[in-house]
Amino acid sequence: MFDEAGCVAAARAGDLTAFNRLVLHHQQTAYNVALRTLGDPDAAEDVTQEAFFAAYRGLAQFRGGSFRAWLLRIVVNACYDRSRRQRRRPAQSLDQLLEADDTPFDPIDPTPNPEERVLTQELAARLQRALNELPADQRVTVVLCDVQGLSYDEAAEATGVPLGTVKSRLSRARARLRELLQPYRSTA
Amino acid sequence: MPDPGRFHLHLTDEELSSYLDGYLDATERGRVEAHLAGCSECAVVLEELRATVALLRQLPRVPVPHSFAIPADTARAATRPGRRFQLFFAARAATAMMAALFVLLVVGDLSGALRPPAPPRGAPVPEDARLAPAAGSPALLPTDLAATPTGADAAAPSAPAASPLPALDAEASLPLAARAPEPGDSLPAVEEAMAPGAAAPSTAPLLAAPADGRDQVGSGPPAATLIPDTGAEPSAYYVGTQAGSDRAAEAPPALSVDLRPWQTVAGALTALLGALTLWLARGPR
Repeated sequence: MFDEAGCVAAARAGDLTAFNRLVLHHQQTAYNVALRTLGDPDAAEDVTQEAFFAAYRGLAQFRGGSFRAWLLRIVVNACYDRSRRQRRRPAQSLDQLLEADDTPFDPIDPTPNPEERVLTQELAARLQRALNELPADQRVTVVLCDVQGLSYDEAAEATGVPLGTVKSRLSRARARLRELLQPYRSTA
Repeated sequence: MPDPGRFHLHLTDEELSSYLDGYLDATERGRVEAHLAGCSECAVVLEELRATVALLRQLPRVPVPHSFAIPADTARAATRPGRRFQLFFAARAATAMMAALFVLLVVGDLSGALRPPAPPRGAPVPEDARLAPAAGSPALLPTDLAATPTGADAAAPSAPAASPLPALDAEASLPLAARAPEPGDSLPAVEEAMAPGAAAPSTAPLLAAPADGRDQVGSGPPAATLIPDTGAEPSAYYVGTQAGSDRAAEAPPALSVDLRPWQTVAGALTALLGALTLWLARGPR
């Protein structure tokens, strides 16, 4: 069992090894939040590394509660910063995303036949395109709640908004995604 | 108990979304379920939302490209203020100093304080005649000093030579306090000093080289404090008040506003350092 509270305490006392155990435990979630929010593997990689540095520097500001939510808040803010900068020089790289998705997939489905695999890749790209259509606030919320499976409370903490705002952003994001994915769902 | 007044309205996105996640209290849930039972439209929307959420949950988790663990050496650097940060402060200080030097060079040149020895023709000015006002003490002035340039100092009110003192004449009938206002005196004090000098009550003549230095003694020096220090052609400010001198009518030497080579160098260095500071201030990336 991963002793998160112990690692946090040790890391705050200056134990880098303990902090890095936290990194290893959360890096997959942090990276995927950044990836799905930004839609760009390179940007997500940068943002995730920046966020872990910022977390290390700002560990003294962590006031208990969910470490994951605190960390994801740093990631989310770094994503907002990044997309603001990216809007000035837009360069979406769906091809790169498709490349990145060319990796072992859902472990629940261990031996997909080639046809299913292509379908899954296409689905992933399509979902990402739909996510990219959403306003940033809604995209972040739906990524946290539906892609990563955070609770409303944790998502509220990670985005720094009230619970009611999470509910309404999530519902608007889902309604929009339902429309965007309508043609795909009917054939799937 | 469902609210009959709202039953005919379709369910909102938020109601459906929260219902999906089980975030409704018992009353709301009862109302939503009652509506869904009688409204196929809303039931379809709910199922489509459920399918959408299911799709999102299936989105593959992409493996990290590499470990994001922080190496020990980077961790030390991360907690210190960055090298770039320190460079920024150094560059900022250097820019400020260079800018001050540049201003000093230009202003000093305009005011004549830094000019190479080219005193007004025929009126040799002892070096201490310029330096004396810096002390702010009238007692140190050579009281019989006849020829002293003053007006150009208007370009630099804070420079030593800007003191209204140099033309102090022992023969003037003004009281000492009125004749020798301290640098930085307020306007009323200057007017007070001017009052007895009936020969020149207006400030207008101060901009021209007075023909008769004697009579201008009381009013000439205050000009240094009255004239604004920016904007107009500097030579216009060069009030060659060669008070008491027989050569007072001679035209004062014209001022050059062209930058000298070392001023250009200082200006260019200031601009360069400023650009470097701005670049450093932007931070990495």
